[in-house]
Amino acid sequence: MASKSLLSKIGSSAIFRDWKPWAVVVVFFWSVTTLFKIEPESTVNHWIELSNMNTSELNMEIQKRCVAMPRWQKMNIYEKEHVVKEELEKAQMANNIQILKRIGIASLAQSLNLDKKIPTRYVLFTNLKLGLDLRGGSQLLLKAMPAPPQVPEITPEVMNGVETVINNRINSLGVSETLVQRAGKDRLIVEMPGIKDPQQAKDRIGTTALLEFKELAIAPDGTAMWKDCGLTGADFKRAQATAMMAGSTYRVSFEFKPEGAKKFGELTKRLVGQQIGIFLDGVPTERGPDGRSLSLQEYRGVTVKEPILTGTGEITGSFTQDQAVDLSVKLNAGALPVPVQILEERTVGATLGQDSINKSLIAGCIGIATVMVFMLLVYGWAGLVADIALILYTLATLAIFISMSVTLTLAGIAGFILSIGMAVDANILIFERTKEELKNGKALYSAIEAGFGRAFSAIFDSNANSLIACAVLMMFGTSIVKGFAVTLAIGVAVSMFTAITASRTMLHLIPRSFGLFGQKFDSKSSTTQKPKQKEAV
Amino acid sequence: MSTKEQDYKVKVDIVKYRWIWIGISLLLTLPGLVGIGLSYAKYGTPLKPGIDFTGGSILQYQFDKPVELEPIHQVLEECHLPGSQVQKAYISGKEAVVLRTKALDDENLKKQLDAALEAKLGPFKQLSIDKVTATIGPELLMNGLIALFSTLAVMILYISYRYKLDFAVCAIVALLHDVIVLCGFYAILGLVIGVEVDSLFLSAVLTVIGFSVHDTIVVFDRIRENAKYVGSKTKNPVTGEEYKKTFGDVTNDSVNQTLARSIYTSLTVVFTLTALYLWGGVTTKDFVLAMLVGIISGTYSSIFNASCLLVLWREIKLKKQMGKPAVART
Repeated sequence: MASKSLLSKIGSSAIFRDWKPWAVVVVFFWSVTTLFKIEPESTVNHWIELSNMNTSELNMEIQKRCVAMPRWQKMNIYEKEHVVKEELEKAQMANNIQILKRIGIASLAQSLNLDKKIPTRYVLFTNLKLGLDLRGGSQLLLKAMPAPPQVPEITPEVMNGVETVINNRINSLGVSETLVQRAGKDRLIVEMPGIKDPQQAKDRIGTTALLEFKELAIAPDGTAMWKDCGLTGADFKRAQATAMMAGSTYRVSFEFKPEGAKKFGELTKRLVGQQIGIFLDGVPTERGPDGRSLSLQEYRGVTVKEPILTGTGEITGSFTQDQAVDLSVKLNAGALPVPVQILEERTVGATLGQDSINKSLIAGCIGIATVMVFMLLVYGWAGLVADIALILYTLATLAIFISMSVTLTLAGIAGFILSIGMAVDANILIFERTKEELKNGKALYSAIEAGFGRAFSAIFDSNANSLIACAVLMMFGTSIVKGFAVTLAIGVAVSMFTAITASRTMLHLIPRSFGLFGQKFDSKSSTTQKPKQKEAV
Repeated sequence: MSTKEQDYKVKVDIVKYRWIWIGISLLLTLPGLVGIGLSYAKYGTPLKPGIDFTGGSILQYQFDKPVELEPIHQVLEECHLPGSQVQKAYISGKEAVVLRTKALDDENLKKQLDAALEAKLGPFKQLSIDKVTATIGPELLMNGLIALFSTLAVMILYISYRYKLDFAVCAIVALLHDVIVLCGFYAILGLVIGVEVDSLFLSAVLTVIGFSVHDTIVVFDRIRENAKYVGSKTKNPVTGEEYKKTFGDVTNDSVNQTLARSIYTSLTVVFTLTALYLWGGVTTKDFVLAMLVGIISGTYSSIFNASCLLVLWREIKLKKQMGKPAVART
């Protein structure tokens, strides 16, 4: 007892001992209520229904619902915005839930004679946020490329423009829960979980979509060439894909903003009987019979029959429906200020994602179960304490993941596993120390306290070191490394907590007659031990 | 409490057999270093880099019908993608085909490939697409290395602050040992069966570093606690002779006192990882294997290397201190 450390002194004082069991209970209930949720089956099915809608359907549905709210008319604009956001979040719930069990309580409700209005089927679920590598989906890393004459350098303003346009285009895909995120000075990360057709997404994102009207002019060398006339897709108010009368071909009709309409009017007045060319990213919009854009040599443009002063017009180019819709979306979203390059694409199919989740879950359970059996075999009753602490640890960590909306990726799982190792390690350290103290002839109570106090400096230093490393990784790491560091840091912090509270409290709860680490207390030594224990309390 | 050797029968003698322990470490690291060297000669990098670092595409397909690899090679040739690798893998018990090609920057090329595959081998499901342009690789590597070295620097600072500089340096050397063992293992795997390292491998290295230092600190904590017994009198259990405890004796005690803990803790981590390796998803296999190798090595190095080095360091320092006045006298 000569070198009882300060830490263990604090630990054994009455105030600090009292809060621990309560903390364990509170954390346990908080974890369970955060982790597991129960809703009537009809509600969950409704969420799933909403999550399967595309963006425009969803927006309409939400608008409909909000307007139907009794207070809607009285709300100010901010309240309205808030309500809409809340509804949207609800609609996205289904994307992030993992259904654990469907429970029917029909017979129970009957036997209890409950009101028939209570739903009889419930769904037990959790809503961990899973990364794209686990649930499937597409992630694109885009780089904005400088376009020298106009945009020599990517400034934050240029990036804002790129971000807005990409956001608009992605939203038009009708995939829920898309995320566009800035990364570094000239990068954007686009995440599209649950996307069915990544190709379509890339087609839509990758192009600049600069629509230009050009007039025919004669170059100095005598050949005809297309000349800019200062009118672009940016002058459009809106564009829309419409079917041509003939059947399967489509056109894109557009409407100019007032200013654009004026310019267009002047242009068409000037060019009656001549040609106007319409170009998308420098390529004629007109397509040949093979579905490809015409070459510059083949393209003849559109002949202006009369001045168009209404500010409306159409682009005909034998589009298919998809092509026309795609073009109109791009025109509505606006042109990108600079071209973008897709640096990286990662697409995980839903099958592979599901396979990863299922297998990781099974393997994780087997792994934890093995550890628990091992602890039981090595430490007996104390091992049971460690196991309960481990369960509390797992629940609490996952609950924190949910409440901090940590996205769990493969690397994140690695961090979590490592932190499980560290949590078990804390218990092993405490047990080994307690064992030593018992061998040195200490009484049970003081052995546990001394064992804890002495192990604590090792637990503290090793975990503090891990936390510092995590902080560095979060600052400098790439997204994969960050995911790892976040889960590890949370895990390490929680493991310190469970070691301080749960393991220690529960060790004291083991009946003395069971013995600890092979030492028995009910026989010869029990008489000498009782007074000692009182002394320590 | 001052003499613990009665309770802790010396299980491993760190000090006496230190050249054996260091020898084992050399045996573990040397083939790795050779592997790294050969890999450097062959690929120009210490490990066989995956597409994350070189740029390229990995495409996974699952065909409805069982397929042979030969027609796929033909399709790749037709699509002007010679030199691509084709492998078979099993995902959810079903056969899948993994193609490694150069980066398919041109979207039309991918469409063409898909169409050709469907025409030749029937309908398929695309399991995953990974496509990285060559420009991003060096940057990814650079970022990873910055993260790695800043972590090491901060760890040295923390351990020096809580312990002493020589503890910190020994912990870092033990850690480098594990990183070399892990990288060497993967360099050899890369040479023999073509295993490539991706950015997940970097997380594995980080995990191993975290674990190795964690493990070492626990041993060091015990040495720090026991350091007060240096110079205390003790009896040799065999001869009964009295002598003063050296730093080496104290380290020996400390390592043996923490031995059970070190082994138990590592075993629990090894259990979880083995479960993940055996039953986990196919995408995590390489990653988990890397962690397994690193953690086993980490356990070894924290028991045998870190403390061994510390004793060596202290002895050399002691000799220098003792040696100086002796030199002056002569």
